[in-house]
Amino acid sequence: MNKLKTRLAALAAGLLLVVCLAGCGNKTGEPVTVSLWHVYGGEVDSPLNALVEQFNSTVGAEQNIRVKVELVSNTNIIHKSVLAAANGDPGAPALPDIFVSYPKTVLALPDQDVLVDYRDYFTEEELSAFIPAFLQEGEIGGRLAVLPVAKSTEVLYVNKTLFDRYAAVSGATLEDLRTWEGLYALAERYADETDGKCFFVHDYHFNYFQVGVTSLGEDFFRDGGVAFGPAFQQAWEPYARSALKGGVWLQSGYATEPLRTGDAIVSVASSASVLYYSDTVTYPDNTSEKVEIITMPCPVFEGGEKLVMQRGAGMCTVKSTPEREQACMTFLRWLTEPERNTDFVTELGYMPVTQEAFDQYLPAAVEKLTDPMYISLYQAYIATQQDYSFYTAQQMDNYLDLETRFETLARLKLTAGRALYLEDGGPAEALIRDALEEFKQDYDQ
Amino acid sequence: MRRMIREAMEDRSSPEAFRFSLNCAVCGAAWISRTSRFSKAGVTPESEGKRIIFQKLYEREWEEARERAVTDAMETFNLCPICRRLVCNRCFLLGEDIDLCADCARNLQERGEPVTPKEESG
Amino acid sequence: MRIWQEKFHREADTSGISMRTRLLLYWFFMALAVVAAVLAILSAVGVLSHSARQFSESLTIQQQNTTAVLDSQMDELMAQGVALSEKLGKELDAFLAGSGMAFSELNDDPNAIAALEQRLYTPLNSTLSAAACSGVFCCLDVTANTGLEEASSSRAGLYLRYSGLQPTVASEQNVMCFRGIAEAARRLQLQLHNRWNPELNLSLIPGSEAVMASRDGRLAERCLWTERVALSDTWEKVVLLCVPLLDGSGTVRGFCGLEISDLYFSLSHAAVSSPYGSMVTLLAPVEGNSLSLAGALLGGTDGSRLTAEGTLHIKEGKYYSTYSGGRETYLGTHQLLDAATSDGVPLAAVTLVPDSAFRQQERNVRTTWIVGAAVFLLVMLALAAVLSHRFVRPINKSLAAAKGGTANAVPSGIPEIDEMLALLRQRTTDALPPNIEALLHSFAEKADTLTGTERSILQYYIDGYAIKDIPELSYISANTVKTHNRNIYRKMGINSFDELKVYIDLFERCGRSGELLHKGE
Repeated sequence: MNKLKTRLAALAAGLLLVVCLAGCGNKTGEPVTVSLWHVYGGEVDSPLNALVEQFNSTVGAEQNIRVKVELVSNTNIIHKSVLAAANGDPGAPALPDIFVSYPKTVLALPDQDVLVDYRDYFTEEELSAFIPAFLQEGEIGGRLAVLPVAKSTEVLYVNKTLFDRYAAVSGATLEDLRTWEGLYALAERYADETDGKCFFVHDYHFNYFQVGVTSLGEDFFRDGGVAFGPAFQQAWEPYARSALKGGVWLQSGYATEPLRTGDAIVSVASSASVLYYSDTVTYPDNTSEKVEIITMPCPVFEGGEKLVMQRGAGMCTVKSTPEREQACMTFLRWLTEPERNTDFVTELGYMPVTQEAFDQYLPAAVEKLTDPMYISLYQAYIATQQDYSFYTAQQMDNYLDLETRFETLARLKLTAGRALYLEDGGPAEALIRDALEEFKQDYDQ
Repeated sequence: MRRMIREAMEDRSSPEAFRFSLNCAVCGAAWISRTSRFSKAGVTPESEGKRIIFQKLYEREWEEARERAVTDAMETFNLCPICRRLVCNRCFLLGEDIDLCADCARNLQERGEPVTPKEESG
Repeated sequence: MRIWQEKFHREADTSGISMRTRLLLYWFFMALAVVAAVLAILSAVGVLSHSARQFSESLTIQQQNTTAVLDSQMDELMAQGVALSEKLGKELDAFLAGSGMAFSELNDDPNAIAALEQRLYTPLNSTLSAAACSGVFCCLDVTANTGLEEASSSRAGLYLRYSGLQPTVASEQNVMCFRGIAEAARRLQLQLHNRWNPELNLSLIPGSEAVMASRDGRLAERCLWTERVALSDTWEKVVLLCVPLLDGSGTVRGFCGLEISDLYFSLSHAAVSSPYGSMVTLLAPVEGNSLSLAGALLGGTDGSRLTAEGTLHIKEGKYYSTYSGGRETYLGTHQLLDAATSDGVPLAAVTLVPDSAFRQQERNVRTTWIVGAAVFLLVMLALAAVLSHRFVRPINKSLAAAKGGTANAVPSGIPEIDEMLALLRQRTTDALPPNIEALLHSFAEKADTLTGTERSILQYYIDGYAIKDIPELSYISANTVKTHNRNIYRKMGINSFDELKVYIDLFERCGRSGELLHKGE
C-alpha cells in the first residue's frame, strides 16, 4: 500500500510539474524583440534595414529573435536621444537595446553601467578577429562598451562635371586639390571669378583644424580646450581668406546639400556620406543635370604629415535581461561575420572591422562594385590607406561640447567677416586676423 | 526405479541407430525400445576433427535415446518386492496385501490378477 | 465465546462503521472520480474552455480603443488639414495681392515661388508641430520651369517632414525640407533632406489629380487619404491626407495636407501585450474579404512578425475573425472608419494578434484543465483504492482468523460481517452439518476395502503426490498405477482423481485427515 501511495504521489507531483512547465512555456510563441537605433542610411534606403530583414527571416526566425529598427538618423540625433533617455528627460523615449554611438556619447552618459561590456559575451578569441585599433576606440572606462561594425575616414568629394567645366576656363587641375593650400587658393579664385560663388564645403571644420594642427606637429588640445598655436593660425589663414571671399560654404547642414544644388563643387566629408551624394544636380530653375562625383584622399598641408581622421561609430548594447542581451549579441555576431560585414560596409562606403574581412573579402567586394561613385570612393580609400596615417580623436568628456561650439562659432565669425568684407571690400588680411581673435576670445569663454 | 531399469537395460545400438532392450525376469519376453537414428548416420567425417565431433555427438544422442528408452520402459516394468527382479505387466500380479511377480506368487501361494491380462498381449 | 462477544460489542459501539456508510463513502469518491474524468474529457474536447470568449472580450475592448483613437486622430487631422488649407489660401491671396502677380505668373519664376514658399512656411510649420503627423506639405499648381519635359507632373510646393523621427515630443524633432526651393529653405534655416527635390512629383501622389479637380462642396468633403505609398528615394512609406487649396475666389490652386509615415504610425501606436499575445494596431484598406497589408499603416509590431506586405484574407468567426496571409495567420477584428483611400477603398481600424500566441494560450488553458482533472481523478481513485482496501482488510482478517480455528476470534469492526461470522462460528464450533459428517464417515469406511498397495498409493495422494510420482515411489510401472487407480475409484465410489482430491481436501479442512486411512486400525 505504501508503495502505491508513493507512486501516486510521484505521479501527481510529475503531473503538477507538467502543468507548471506548460504555464511557463507561455511566452515561447512570441519573438524576443530588440530595438535598434542606427545611422546607416538616414532618409535614404538603408542597407542595414535590408540586412535586419534578412536576419529576422533567417537566424532570427530560427532563434525567435526579432530586430526592429526604431530610428535611422545621424549620430548627433542619436547622441541627443540616448542622453535624453538615459537622463530620463520628460518626454524622452526608452533607451533602445542597441544604438550606434561614438565613444563621446558613452562618455557623456550619466551612468556607463547601463551598457553591456562586450567582454562578458564575446570570447577573447572572437574579439581578436577585430582590428585592434578599432576595438581600442570602443574601450571606455575599462570596459568594451562600443563594438565596431563599420569604420570610415574623411575624403574629398568632387563634382567632376562642374570641376572640369571650371578647369576648362581656369586651367585648374585635380592636383590642386591635393593640398589645403591649393584647394583654398582655387576656392578663392573661383569665388573671385564667379562673383562670390562657393567652391568648397567642409562637413567638420573642427576636424579640419584638429587633424591639420596635429599634422603640422602641434598639439591641438591643451588643458581641456583648444591650443591656439602657430599651426592653428597657419590652418586658419587660407581657410578664412577663401571663406571671406565666399569660396567656403558657411551655412549649417551637411556638405551633400550645396553639392546637390550645384552651389558647391568640392567637399570634404565622411566616406560614409557617399550614400547621401546624388549624381544629379538640380538648379534653382528646376533643371537637373547628371554629374560625375569622384572621390580623392583628403587634402593635407604642404610640408605637413599625411594625416586623416578615422571615423565610424560602433554599436552599444543596453543592459536588459540576459535573454534580450543574448539576442543582441546573436545579431551583432551575425553582423560582424567577415563576409557579411564586408558586403554591408561596402554598400555604405565604410571599411570592415575584422582583419579577415579586410584581407579576404574586401578586394573582391570592391571589384564587384558597379556604382562609379563607390568605385572611386574605394580607390581613394585604398590610396588613403597606403599613404596616410589615421588620426583618432582624443577621448575627452567635453569633446562634443568643444566640437559643437567650434563648428557654430567658426561659421558665425566667418559669416560675419564675409558680411564685413562685402560691405567694405577692404583688405582681407585684417578681417582674417580679427575674425580669428574674436573666435579665440568667444571660444575660450 | 529409473536407475534399476537403466542398469538392467541392454544396449543394442549400432553406429547408425540407437536401440535398447529389457527382458522380463519371469517370462523372458524382450521389451525393445523404439529405434532412433543417429543424426549423422551415413555421413563420413571429412576430417579428424569432424570425426571427434561426430563421436561426441554420438555419445550424447546415445545418452538421450537411453533416457527416452528408460521412460518408455517405466510403462511396462515393475519391481517385485519379494525377489527384487524387473517383471513385465503380464507377469506382475496385484494381490490383496501386496503386489508381486507371478513366480513369487506361485512360490508363496498368493493369488492376484496380472496388470495386463495374458490374452490381451496377442 | 462470551469474552469474544463482549469484545465484539465494545468494538461495534466505538469504531464500527456500518457497511452501508462505508459503501456510501466509497461510491461518493467513485462518483467524484467519474466527474473528474468527464471534466477531463470535456476539457480535452474544448467544450469547457472559455478562451475564445475571453479573447474576444479583450479584443473588443482593444478594438474599441483603437477605433476611437484612430477615428479621433483622423478627424483631427482632417480638421487641421482643412484649417491649414484655409490659412494657406489666405497667405496665397495676400502674397499675390502684395506682389501684384496673377497666380499663373508664378510659373517660371523661381524667385517668386521661393518668396511664396517662405511665406507659406509659417502655417505649415505650426500645423506640423500641432498635429499628430510626421510631415506637412502644400503643392501649388505652378512650376518653376514650364519648359521641362516633366513639367506637367512637377509642381512647386513646400514639403516639411521630421527627419530621423524619434519616439519623443514634436518640439524635439528635426524638421527638414523634403521638397521646396533650396533658396527658400536656406533662408528659413531649414536643412535639406538627403533626397531633396525642389518640386513635388504629382505622379507619385495617387489621388492628387482628383483633389485638384474637385469642384464645389465643403473642403472637409473634398479631402482624400492616399493609400500607403513609398516616399520616393527613401525607405519610408507614408499615407497622405490631401486637401484642396483654394484661393479667395474658390479656385483650386493646388492642395495641401499632412503625412503619416509608417514609422510615425508604428511609434504612436505601440503593440499592446495581452495574455493572448501582442495586439497590433493597423490602419488598413479593407475591400470585401481582403485586407491590403501593402496599403496599410502598421502600429508597433513587437511580439509579432507582421510586415507591411501582401494581403490578408478575412474569415469572420463567431468570436473573432481570422486573417490569413501566406506565411502567418492572425486573429482579430476590424471596424470600418469614416474614411476611404483615393480609389474609394474604405479604411478600417484593425486589431490583430498572432494566431500562434492565442493558440498557445488556449492550449495552455486546456492543458491546465486536463491535467487538473487528471490529477483530481488520480487522487479520487487513490482514495477509493485506500478506502476499499481498508473496507476489505478487517473482513479478510477476521475470516482468516475464523478459518484458523475458534481460539482467537478477531472482530472485523463491521457489524454486518461480525454478526455473520458470529453466527457461522456458533454453528461450526458445535458440530459439522450432519450430511457432511455422514459423507466423510462413509468415505472413510469405503477406504477400508482397499488392498495394501492401494492404501499406500492413497496415502501418497493424501501426502500431496501426483499420479506421475507413483511409479518411482512404489517401484511399479505406470500401467500398474493406472490399474490401481481404477480400482481405488471403483471401491471409493468416485469417478476421477479430482473427486478424490476434493474428499482428501475435505478431510484435511476438518482436521480429520488421520481418520481416512487409520479409522479401522
